[in-house]
Parts: sequence; structure tokens; C-alpha cells
Amino acid sequence: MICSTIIPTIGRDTLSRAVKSVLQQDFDADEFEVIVVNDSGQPLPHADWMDSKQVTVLHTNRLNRSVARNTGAAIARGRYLHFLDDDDWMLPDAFQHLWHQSKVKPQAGWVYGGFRLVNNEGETVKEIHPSETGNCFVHMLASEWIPIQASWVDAGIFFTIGGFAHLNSLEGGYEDIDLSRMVSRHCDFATTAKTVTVIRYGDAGSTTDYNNLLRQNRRSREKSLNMTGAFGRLKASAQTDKSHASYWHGQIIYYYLVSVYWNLKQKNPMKALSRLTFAMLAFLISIPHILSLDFWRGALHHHHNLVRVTLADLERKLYTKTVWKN
Amino acid sequence: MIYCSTIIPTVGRSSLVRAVESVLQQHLPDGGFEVIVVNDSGKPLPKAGWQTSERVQIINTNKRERSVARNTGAAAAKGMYLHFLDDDDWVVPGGYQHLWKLSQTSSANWLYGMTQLVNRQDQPQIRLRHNLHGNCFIQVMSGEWIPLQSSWIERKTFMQIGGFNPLLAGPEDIDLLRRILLQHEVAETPNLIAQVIIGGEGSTTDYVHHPEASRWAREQILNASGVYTRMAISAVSPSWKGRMLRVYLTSIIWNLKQRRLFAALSRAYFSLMSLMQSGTSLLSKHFWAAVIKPYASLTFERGFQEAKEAD
Repeated sequence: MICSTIIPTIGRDTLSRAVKSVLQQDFDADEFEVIVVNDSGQPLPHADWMDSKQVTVLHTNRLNRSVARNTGAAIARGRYLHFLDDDDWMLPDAFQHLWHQSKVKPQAGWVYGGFRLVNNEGETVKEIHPSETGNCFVHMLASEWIPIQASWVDAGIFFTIGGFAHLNSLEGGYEDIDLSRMVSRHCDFATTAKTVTVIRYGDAGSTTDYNNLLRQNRRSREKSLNMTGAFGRLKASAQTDKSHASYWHGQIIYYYLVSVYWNLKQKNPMKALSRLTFAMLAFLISIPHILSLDFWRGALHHHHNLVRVTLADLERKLYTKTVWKN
Repeated sequence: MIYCSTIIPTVGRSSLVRAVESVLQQHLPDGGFEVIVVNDSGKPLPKAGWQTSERVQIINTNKRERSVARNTGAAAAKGMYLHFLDDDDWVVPGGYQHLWKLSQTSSANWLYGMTQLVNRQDQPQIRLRHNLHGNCFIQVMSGEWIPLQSSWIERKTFMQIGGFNPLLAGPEDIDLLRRILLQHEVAETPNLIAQVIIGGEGSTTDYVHHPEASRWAREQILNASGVYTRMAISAVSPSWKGRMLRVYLTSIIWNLKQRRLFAALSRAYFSLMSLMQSGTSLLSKHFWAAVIKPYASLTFERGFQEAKEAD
């Protein structure tokens, strides 16, 4: 089997749209399945898609998204895992595009396509096509966002890194970016130019705890920097996009320095010292870039990801309930 | 209301019937229990009588190893407590009643009783009486262990700490116990709860990578915040204070071998702290014996002693 789509649900009535958008994919029926993880604590109202042989419904007991998704992944049989949310949906031919790309780049652990963001009324806000390919560890560390809804993740690598982070390390909301960081530490990304997914965007009716995001981001970043071989992988990823190599070399230094500061505040002086050493190492290997303005821009500022940049004016309207502070 | 959910991951061993039936024969005074069999064998289970029981639910995972299978079962569980049994072990009659009684009087998050170890020929070996109470963090950091098969773990606590670490195959049980003890406590009932098969043959535990995985898991815990204080509170006698120093000293060596210089430095700092805070214990020979000698489990020592006396 090629792909397992896992849809955790809290019982939203948009679930049927999500499931059907997958079942209607132009793909050999034996080669994909849908696993609905019902975490609402109540039985789901009956729907015709439940009779499909390709669908399995699993009940978890009101935990959180990470646990529900990991539970779905555990029963999945596909070579790739695809995590969809119950308020998002796939475009026709999405699987064909992703499957084609995965054959072009068989060594990629994460294959993704473009995505269309819509507001609660279903109106298109923007269509976005990230360009990360190959080793993009530093890009992920800098919070580039590649939605799991638009991605196929290799099942083997998913289990090698232990799946989505659990409650003790992340409180839910940043688990998708955290997953992309862990995966990018181990393997490469590949992308198709086609748009594959429609994602509802904004905090109205969302289960994500946006107020917590900044703290979670920091913890996830610390986790990434703690991984064995993180420095080497970061260094290599700064070279992935040759035209912006100076900027990304600067970014490596920036995120190590941020971590120095954070660890001092957490009273981990030894950890801070270790990060400082790596920041200096990163500076040494960046010497060829120090005359570039881009390098200093990277070293002194935090990264604005593609979605934030694209939606700069719209963000405020979409996130009315969120207080953006630590 | 469901009081206890029993989760039995299986690789399709024929002994599964014995495990499931030993649970279905239990009685609980109030609230029921459920059994969640997580079939991780990748094949359908052969038909059996217990599958028709209303208390039983089967989940088929796709050969994902024990930790993932157990976490999957736990995610579907509804009970106040979780009991993780293996498909070759079984609960003794009345076992659940003892744990239930303990749950009525104790607020501990991990309840347990005695374990009878049995070899693969079903011959009884030694019996484990752990004598661990409340905060016994230093004891489990030194190498004491409580079998999951004889334990009820509060479900809320299990979920809060994120369940079993899916990256560990082998020491995931002791790792869970340590992570729970970092904030919570254990309580013991002096009754036999489960019979547990031991021996490498036919086991699903990865014994080759076990010591290295154990070390790695222990280092992760030493990295957590509040570890030093928690350990210091539980180290009340000179010999446990010595053990605490040993935990940090051995970690210096491990980190140096892994070329983690700053982690080693941090451990050295805590070694010094623990040495300075040991006070008059430094005069005790038990302190220094504990620093020098590798840990030998008191539970196993006691078990062997009793077995000898019985002969």
C-alpha cells in the first residue's frame, strides 16, 4: 500500500468533506486507505463513507492531536503517511502529483505540494508554494512551515523519530513543525509544483492553542539542536540554496545565540556554553560570507517564514483571538 | 465507569489466551474493567472464545514494536488506571482486588504488588517484593524496577508524561517508571499480582542494544529539570547518598565517551554538589561502598535469599 491518510477528528461536521476528498482521489483503491481517529469521546453520526472498505474508524479517548495522530499512524499500512485535519480537504489529483514526485525523488522522506489557504467562509486567502527541497534543516529550524496536510511522510522515518511529540515535551499546536524539523534532520524533502490541499486558516474554531506557540517553538528548537549531528546537518543545509547561502549561514549563528540566551534564562549555564561554542564554530565556517549584507541580516534577525510574509496584512484579521506574546 | 483498562500487546503468541482469560476472570467491587488487545503481529489473530466478550476490544497495529503498540492501546483506553500485561504473562486470581483495595486508600499514581517470575518451562523462579514506597526516585535511578505486569498506572498521569518513549525497545518500562517518579509516587500491596515469564529465548526485548538504550534513556532523564532535588529528597541513607553520587560520576564518564563535553561538565558540577551535601554520610563506609560498587538489586537479592531458605 502506498499511502495512509490519517484524519483525527473532534466531530466537526466538515469531516465528511475531508474523507470524501481523499476517497475520490484518482488512485488505485488498493494503494491507499483512510484512518479516521475519532477523539471526540462520542460516536460519530453515521455517514456513507463509513461503509467504504478503505476506511477504518478508530476511537481514542479525548486526548490531543498528537496522540490521536500517532494512534492512527500505528495501524497504518501505507509506505507514506498523510495527516489531514477534519476541516481541510484534498484537491482532485493531489495523490497523483505527490506519487509522481515521490518516484522522481525516491530518497526523499517528505514529499509535499502547494496549498491553498481559505478563511472560515471558504474564500481563498492565498495560494502558497514553498520551495524547500533536499536538506532543509536550517529552514525548518527557522520555522518555515510545510503543512502536513499537503505532505506525504515516509512511514519508516516517522517511526524512527518516534512520531509526533507527546504532551510532556510539546503542549500541542507546534507538533507539525516539530515533526518537520525532526524529519529534516534525517532526510531530504521533495516538492511538486502543483497545489494539493485546501487548508482552513485562522484561529476561529481552531483546536490549536496559538497563545502557547512561542514557548513551544522554543522547546522544539532546543530539541532539534540537541539531536546528534545537528550542527553538521545545519551546516550542510545552509548550502542547499546556493543563492542564499550567506543568509542561511547567518541564521545558524542567530539560532545558536538565541539558544544561548534562552538557556541562561533557564539556568542551564553548561548548555548555554555548549551553544556558544557552536555559535562560534558556525561563525568560523561562515568567514567567507562575512562581507555579505545577507549574512548579517541572517545573523541578527529572526526569520519570517513564507506564509507570514505573504499574509503580512491579512494575519491580523485572521487571528483576532490571539495575543502574540510569550 | 471503567476502573481499569488492561492493555495486552501481542505478537501472536499462543499464550495470549491465558493472558486475556486471567484478566476476564478478575472481579472488581465497583466499576468494570476492559481489555484492549493490540495485535502487532501484522496477521489476523486466530479465532478464540474471548474475542466475543463485551469487555474485549482488538486493535491491529502494523508491526510497530511494543512501545507504540502499548501507547496505541492506552490512547483507546477509558479506565482510571492502566494495566500493561504481556501476551506470555498472566494475572493471578484476586490480583485486581488487591490493587483495587490499595487504590481506595492510596493516592499514589503507580500502584503495584508482588511478581512471581516463571521460566519458559512454567517453573516458578524467584518472587519479587520490591519494598519501594512514595518517592523512590534514587532507587529506580540506581537500577530498581517494578514490572508493569504487576502495576496499575493512573491513566491521567500516563498521558501527562506522554506515555512510553517509542524510541526505546527494551528499557521502556523502567524509563516510564523513572519519568513518573520524577513527579509522582508509588504504593505497594504485599500481595501477589502477576506471573511473569523470564528468559531471552522467544522474548521480544532487544537485549543486544538494551544496555546502550538504558544508558541513553537515563541520560535523558538526568537532563530534565528538577532531577537533582528529587533524587536528593529520596536519598535518605548514607548508601543512597553514595548511589546518587555514583549516578552523576558514571554519567560524566559516559558523556566524555560520547564527546559531550559540556554535559560532562554539568554532571561534574552536580557530583560536587551531591558530595558537598552528603555531610556526615561521608564518614560512613556504606556511602563509599555505594560509590564504588555497581548496583545489585535488593529486590532480586531478597528473592534469591527467600528461594534458598524455602529449599
